Amino acid sequence: MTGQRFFQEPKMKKKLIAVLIIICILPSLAGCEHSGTIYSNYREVEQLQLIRAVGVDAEGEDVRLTISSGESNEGGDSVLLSRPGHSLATAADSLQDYAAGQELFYAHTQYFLFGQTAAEQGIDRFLDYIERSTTLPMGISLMVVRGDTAESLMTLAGDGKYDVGQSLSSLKQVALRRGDNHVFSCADTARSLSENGAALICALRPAPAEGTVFTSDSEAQAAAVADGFGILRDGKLVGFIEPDEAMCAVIVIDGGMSDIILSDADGGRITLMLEGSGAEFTPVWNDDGSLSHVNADVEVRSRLVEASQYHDTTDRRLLSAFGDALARELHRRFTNLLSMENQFQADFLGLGNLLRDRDAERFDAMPVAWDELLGDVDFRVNVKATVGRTSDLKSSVSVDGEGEFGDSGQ
Amino acid sequence: MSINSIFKRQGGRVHPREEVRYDMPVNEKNLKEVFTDCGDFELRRVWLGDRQISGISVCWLDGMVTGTTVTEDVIRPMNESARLARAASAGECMELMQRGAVWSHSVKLRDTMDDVAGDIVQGCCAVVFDSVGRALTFEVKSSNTRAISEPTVEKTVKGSKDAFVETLRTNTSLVRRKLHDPELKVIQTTVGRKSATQVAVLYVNGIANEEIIQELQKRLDGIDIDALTCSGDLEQYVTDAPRSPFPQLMHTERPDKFAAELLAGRVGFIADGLPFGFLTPATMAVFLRVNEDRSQHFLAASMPTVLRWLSLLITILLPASLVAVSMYHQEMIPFRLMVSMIDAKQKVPFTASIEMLSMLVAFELIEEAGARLPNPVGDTLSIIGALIVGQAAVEARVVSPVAVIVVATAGICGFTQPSQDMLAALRIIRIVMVLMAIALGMFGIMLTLVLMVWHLCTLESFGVAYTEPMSEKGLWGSLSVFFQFPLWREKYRPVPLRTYDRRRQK
Repeated sequence: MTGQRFFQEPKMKKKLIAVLIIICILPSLAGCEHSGTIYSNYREVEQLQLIRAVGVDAEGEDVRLTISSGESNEGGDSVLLSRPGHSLATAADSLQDYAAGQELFYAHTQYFLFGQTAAEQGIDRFLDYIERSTTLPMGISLMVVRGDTAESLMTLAGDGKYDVGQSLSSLKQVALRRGDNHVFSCADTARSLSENGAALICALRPAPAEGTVFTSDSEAQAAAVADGFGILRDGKLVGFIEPDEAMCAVIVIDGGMSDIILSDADGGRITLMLEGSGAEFTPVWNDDGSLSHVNADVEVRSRLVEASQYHDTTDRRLLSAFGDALARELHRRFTNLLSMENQFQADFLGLGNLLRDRDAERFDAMPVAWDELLGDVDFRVNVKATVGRTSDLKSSVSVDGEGEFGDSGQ
Repeated sequence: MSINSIFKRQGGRVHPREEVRYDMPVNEKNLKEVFTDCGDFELRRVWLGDRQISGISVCWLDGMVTGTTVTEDVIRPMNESARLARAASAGECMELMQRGAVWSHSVKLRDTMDDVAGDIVQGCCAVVFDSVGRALTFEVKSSNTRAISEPTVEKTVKGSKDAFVETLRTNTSLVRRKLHDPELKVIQTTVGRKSATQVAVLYVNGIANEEIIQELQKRLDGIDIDALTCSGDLEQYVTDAPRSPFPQLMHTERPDKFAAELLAGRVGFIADGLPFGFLTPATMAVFLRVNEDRSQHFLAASMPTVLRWLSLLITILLPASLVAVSMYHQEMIPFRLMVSMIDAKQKVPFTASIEMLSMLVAFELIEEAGARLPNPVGDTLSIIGALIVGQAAVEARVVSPVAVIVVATAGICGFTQPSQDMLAALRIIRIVMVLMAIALGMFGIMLTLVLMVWHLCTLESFGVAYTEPMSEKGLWGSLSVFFQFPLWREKYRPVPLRTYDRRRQK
């Protein structure tokens, strides 16, 4: 069949027309913006200025948006821009005017920082903005700058060669590895606010770099370091959890593992590393169906990693004494942490859901709802701690010591 | 089958004429007329013994026959045979020659000029008896053909080292030597009005499906062309969907693979003058298999098969994906890669689309130039093109290194395809994919993929779906595409081939 005859065949003609119609119609179903054209998305990569970190501060009723570009491009510096605006969108538009011909590209934004004032005014509107945005990812990490503005931290932590994104990236990885903090994503925070009415947010502070020896020519003026958690209730920052208690929050959230320093009987210091941990919350009910108290059973397994003076670590009694000390210290910290749930009346640990999982029927039948109960919940903390060691220079005997401390026995 | 019969058979259906080509009595004068202006036509009048019986002449085409054989097996017995010398007439003489007075192994009695001319052009020597109006033709073909040599394309480490040559009978004998079984049938037909090329259809009786054999013969008989000079003259007329870029006929230069596929239930055909055999039905999966897979451990054989499928996807998708993500979907690129891409692209003056299209065209040019030039020069050109020009282009910031890497990777992945025909199809699709990616981004790629899969699903090869065995029910069929199972587990022949004898081993 020749080409001409091919198109003259009615069957072939129909097939061809059907395919052409499908090709023409399908792009309109692609879900792209601007009435079915995807050309609005067209841009060349070299025209883009990648934004890695965004900071939001409150300026009265307005907001100040600060952006930091990603790693410096070849031969160029990283970009740090800050502009005020009536809203995030107008501030972003305003920043675009100062972007030196490049398109600010937010799709690779990894960190969203809030100044303390902005967070206290409420972050829910910004979460909405991220959710609605077609470029900002929901996996973006949220952080709050404690006692300062996001702009300040982003300015101090970047020096033109390095940007705050690198500092935050390092912080996130270290927190994950060390287990003393946790960086929550926008999706995590939104989910927690929706389910529990409260959420935690990683708190930062700029740490001055004085006295730090740098190996490169470029010296940042400060590093961003983790400083506990911020407590969000109904989308607003209501308080902070100190680093000591933050470690316990991580244990509740995902079984954190971090170092903890204690004093031994002789006044020396011992450093224990948590190898495994877990917390279990059990509701105890009254006869009338009301909640009597909540038992928080914490179990940690630790290893002795450092001591300021020599100890015979094959002595089980000594290790048990360390275990007791660890249990006592963790009891204190957990008690403080749980008291904050009552103090701020915010279930930032999601305990309501945990208790409901234990006994949904009785939980739902409580005469007073969990939300109303918060503020007056009796938490009883029991900690069981095991201290072991991996090796000893003088012998290869493996010994563990156990210690316990809790409210149940008191 | 003679030319004459072909012409007659095809007359009413394909050919515009039914009449014979040379409607004239068989005699020396007419034969000379037929071969007028044929410089290689030789005609010699001969005597029988020492007396002249008028009108006996021997004729042949110089170069098509072996002169010694004509002399020793035909002319010499005619002169020296006492029996022939006693023959009373030319008719008796012809009868005696037909019954063995002439020592040639093959003799045919011809009574039409079409048959005589047809035999002469096929390499026979004809003895024409003017008074009888008939001729005897003896097969004395020249043996100056290429010797059997090693495969040049389908090289193997553990397989046999013989490959098909350009001579049909040598090729059929190579297959026969792999399958010593009278059930291996060889049916010959002729294709081409002018070339009268012999084509042999081979199959194993009792295994191959009769419908496929008949359909193939029907399609071969339906070919009405001047000459069969290349594989395309067969492929484009025999396949179900000649417009499709995807290959629908397997071809191999290896007799062992040919024989193995016949045993699997396929039907093969070999054309005189082509150093490879064709096999049908063909599915997409067979184009990604090599015969050596069966010679290797099944685990070792599975890995390259999976790699070939992976390469197939990479070769068609990678350049298009780069264009799509760098033009429309930058958010899909990981941050660090994005930084590298921006760095690399910073001083390149062309857009991603022009850069990719020009790179693909350059790649095709290098490949084409390498293929057209003699081997050592072609290899050198490829190296110069790939290394020096590529490096220089990157250093001059004409193209970005990412584009070079992507096009080179796609090209290398394409070269893993065992079938050059499949590779040719993938090259076309690769460019279409890039064009669609330029126009519609990732959506264009998905659209092209959907249309391609749709097209593949509509293809059939002699009644067998092109996507078999992936379109079979159950997971087993799909897995067999990617993995080589132990041979002792393959008890049955492929289901889609609808073989009569399904079991291939106990």
